Amino acid sequence: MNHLYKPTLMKIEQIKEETSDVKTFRLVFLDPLLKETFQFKAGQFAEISVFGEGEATFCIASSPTWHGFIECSVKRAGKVTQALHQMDVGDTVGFRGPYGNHFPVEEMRKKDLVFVAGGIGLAPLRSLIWNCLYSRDQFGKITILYGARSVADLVYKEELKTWETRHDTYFIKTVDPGGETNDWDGKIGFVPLVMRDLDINPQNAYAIVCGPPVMIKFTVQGLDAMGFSPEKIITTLEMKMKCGLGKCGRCNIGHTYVCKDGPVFSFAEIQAMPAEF
Amino acid sequence: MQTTIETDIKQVETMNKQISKKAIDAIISELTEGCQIFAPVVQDGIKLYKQIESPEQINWGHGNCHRSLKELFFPITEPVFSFRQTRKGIQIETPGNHNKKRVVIGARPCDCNALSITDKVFKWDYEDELYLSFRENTLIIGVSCIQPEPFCFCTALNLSPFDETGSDILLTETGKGIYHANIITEKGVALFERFKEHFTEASPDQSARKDAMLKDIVSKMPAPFPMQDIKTWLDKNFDHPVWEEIALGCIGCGTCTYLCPTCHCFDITDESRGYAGERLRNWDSCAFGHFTQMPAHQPRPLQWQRFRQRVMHKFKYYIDRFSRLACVGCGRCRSLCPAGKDTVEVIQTLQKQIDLAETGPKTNKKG
Amino acid sequence: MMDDLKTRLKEMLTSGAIGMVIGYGQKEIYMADGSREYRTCPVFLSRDTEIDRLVWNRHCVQNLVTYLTKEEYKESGKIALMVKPCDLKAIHVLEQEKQIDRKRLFIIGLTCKGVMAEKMGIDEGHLAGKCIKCLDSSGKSSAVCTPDEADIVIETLPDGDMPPKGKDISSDLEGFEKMPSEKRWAFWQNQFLKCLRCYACRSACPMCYCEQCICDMSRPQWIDKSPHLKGNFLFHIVRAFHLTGRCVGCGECERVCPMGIPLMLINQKMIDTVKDLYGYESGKDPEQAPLLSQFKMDDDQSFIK
Ligand SMILES: Cc1cc2nc3c(=O)[nH]c(=O)nc-3n(C[C@H](O)[C@H](O)[C@H](O)COP(=O)(O)OP(=O)(O)OC[C@H]3O[C@@H](n4cnc5c(N)ncnc54)[C@H](O)[C@@H]3O)c2cc1C
Ligand code: SF4
Ligand code: SF4
Ligand code: SF4
Ligand code: SF4
Ligand code: FES
Repeated sequence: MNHLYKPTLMKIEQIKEETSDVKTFRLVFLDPLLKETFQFKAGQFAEISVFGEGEATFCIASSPTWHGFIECSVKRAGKVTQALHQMDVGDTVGFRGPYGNHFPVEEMRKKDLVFVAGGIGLAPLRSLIWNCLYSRDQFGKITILYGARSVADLVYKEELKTWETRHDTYFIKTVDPGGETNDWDGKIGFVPLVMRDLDINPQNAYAIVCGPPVMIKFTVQGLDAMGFSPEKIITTLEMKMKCGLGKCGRCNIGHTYVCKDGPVFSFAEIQAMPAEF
Repeated sequence: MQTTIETDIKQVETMNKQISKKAIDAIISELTEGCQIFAPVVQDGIKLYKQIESPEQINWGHGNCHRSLKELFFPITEPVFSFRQTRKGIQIETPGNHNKKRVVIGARPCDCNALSITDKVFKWDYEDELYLSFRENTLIIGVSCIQPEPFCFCTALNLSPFDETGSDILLTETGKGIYHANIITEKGVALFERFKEHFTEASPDQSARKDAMLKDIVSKMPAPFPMQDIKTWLDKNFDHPVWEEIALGCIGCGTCTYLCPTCHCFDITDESRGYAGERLRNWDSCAFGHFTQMPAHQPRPLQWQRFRQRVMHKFKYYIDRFSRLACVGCGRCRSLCPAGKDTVEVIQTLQKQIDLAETGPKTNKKG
Repeated sequence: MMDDLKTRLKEMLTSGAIGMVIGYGQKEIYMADGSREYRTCPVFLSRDTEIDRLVWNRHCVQNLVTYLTKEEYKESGKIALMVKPCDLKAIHVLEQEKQIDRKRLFIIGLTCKGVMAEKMGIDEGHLAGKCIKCLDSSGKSSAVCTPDEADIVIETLPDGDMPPKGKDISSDLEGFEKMPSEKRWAFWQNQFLKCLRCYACRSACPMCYCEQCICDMSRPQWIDKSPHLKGNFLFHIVRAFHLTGRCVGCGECERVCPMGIPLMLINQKMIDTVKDLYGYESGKDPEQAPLLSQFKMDDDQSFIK
């Protein structure tokens, strides 16, 4: 019997050590047909499992415009994530997905985009950023502000360089005070503060914010002060998930099921939710 | 959000028949041949729905099973698949017991109705084949409550001790050893057709008797609560100070949710030895702290917040999503809560809040 | 006496000397046949106008000490707690284990003549198993709350005649131990097959206060989380071990188990074993060191084989 909880198998094709506790896994479907036909949208997530250890929820961090594989960046946090970190290239994992809603890419066309990410929060934005860069001419000005606690905590280091050198993106990186190294050429300061000094025009723009709760909180306040309307501030929410399908009953905030209605929400939607997240 | 609450879903024109206890036993004996039969059985002092071999095992007594009917469709623990690491890779095997034909006899109307509630979530966009295949392959013969248990309050929620929803056939004992049989669904009709000779036409007399019995029972049971008003109040009062008070005493034991026929929360967990193992789906409960515990964050750190989740889920969120209340008034939670927490009392407390809000001082609402 | 108590508690609440009273009260409940019944249950009172709800009767079964270690009641200021003589033992263990600050507690010591047995939400119509040994020939409990332990002692006994005695837990255990081992094995298999792993037994136990219970741990996962027979056996064995020398025999775990599993058989066995081997009775004295943290040269070591 085929059922919702039965994962499809994927092979780990590549593992990249991003930071001391984050690894990016490139995964390929064993089924050649699925490998060719698999599609998802930026912002969606998957349940990845290590057989014998369990499942955990990860956003798909690769771009929907890349084919033949997906990537997930995993921060070591507990049982499953630790087991994943111990796996090698060639090992098999389980995959269920893609689940959840996605970033409103269609509505974002012709608009300026401001991406603000902190730490591993860049993972879901990475998918969207590459998605937008793929059809670069369809979007307005693209600003990317990325911050981490320290230089060692920055993920996707090579891609950061690419964004930095591209002429069609305006890229700013920062680390928290004390997290810099001698040769650090970025900014020093917390993301929301650094954002204040940027040349951002809220007219005809979307801000997409992802990161730890405190960062989101202050960044959203800053965006609000700049004149972004809550509908134009987009973020993702994280609640504990098991099924990803709206069945297991643990990811709800009020009547909103983050796994089915989310994880992507506008700040306006979040404001309408009860404060239980 | 204004949503109306659906109370009844009917499938086919009900047929009214009559059958004797003896004939029922005969049907069951015959059914044990090709089917698994489940019925209330008393063992070690508790009553549970269990598989039986012969009709004598059935406990026809009044009152409900300690655990609800949901466990036959959504087991307490169920391997969703087993896996084996072999040289050829990982082999996955899903359970093979889901296509067996099953008959449940003696289920109470509230438990049967509750299935029509859980059906909604298990069918919500993604069809949960594990649950639905059990549903599909199971025929349910319900039995009306002619003597409700002390803690029952189905009538308060606009359901009835003779409620037909969820049963394929509903039996009502109208005389000693004589049952009125409502044939409700296509599955019910099929069973009726197969065992036609055991049934007789229900006499008008009998039907009238049944109606009179129902009227008598319902007249004593609680009158409907204004659940729509309660829903409207809940819509606006997530942050009301009364929640902390309502939940006082709850020890977070989960009894109310595990025994509830409509609670459907679960956990998914792996167990393995060496190169083989299973992924299991186990009951879980919003009453537990670790239910929502994330690595660095806990949205419901205190018990009263978890208590609020349970009440909100039953009387607001489920209605928002599925137009049904997630409670059938079976009374299990109120009779077994070790701290004496009582769902009826909760509803009454909320009702008092509504009255207060209408007459008394305004409460601190959050917009 | 109850009136004096109520007056005093009202004063204390008003003056802010205490923040909350956790005691027994009655509430009216709505029955299916239209009648109303009174049910005794824990009440949490923080307004002086509510104090009259307090009662002391044979249905005051719950061990309220459980609430002292729960997060939700830690912010309530000083708590006045109604305590039966046997519940006092649980306070002692929590004191030994440094889980409560006695200064934040105002103990209302009750004088007892036995409470009713309750199982799966039903009053069994006879005395609780733990009470039978405790009651002396006059029907009063031999255990008492003395003035040096309780802040106030209520001498008034509950009303009502002596209910039927029922079976004492030790004689239950004796009968059980007479069964051949295969029968005992089958007995526990049947019992543990029913266990839902709702952990109500754990939630209700005053001694199960661990922030991170070993049963919830995932790295390493010592105990199968699933409620199948194997996982359930593991859980109950671990539970018994972790309560050895700590369980005070209040019977709450068995009372709250929605599947009616006779957990006191296990607890009583452990209580007896500890007493036989080490002469140790948990909760007897707040000053004594916890059993597992003491070692004497002449301790029985016959179990090391
Ligand atoms: C939509 C979504 C997208 C996500 N995307 C990503 C992503 O791209 N990358 C990423 O790295 N993560 C992501 N996460 C987070 C990720 O799902 C979790 O980190 C992961 O599930 C942890 O699983 P685990 O088995 O390793 O941890 P677990 O072993 O389940 O536990 C994790 C931690 O929680 C604590 N914990 C568990 N149970 C309890 C308890 N009862 N009491 C107290 N503490 C407890 C433990 O201390 C442990 O450290 C995402 C989450 C969501 C919801
Ligand atoms: S049964 Fe009672 S004590 Fe247990 S979780 Fe439910 S309300 Fe709380
Ligand atoms: S909430 Fe209580 S009364 Fe309602 S269906 Fe669940 S167990 Fe029954
Ligand atoms: S209370 Fe009973 S059913 Fe629940 S975990 Fe304990 S023994 Fe098992
Ligand atoms: S194990 Fe049971 S009897 Fe012993 S202290 Fe805990 S609740 Fe009381
Ligand atoms: S993750 Fe299971 S309901 Fe959302």
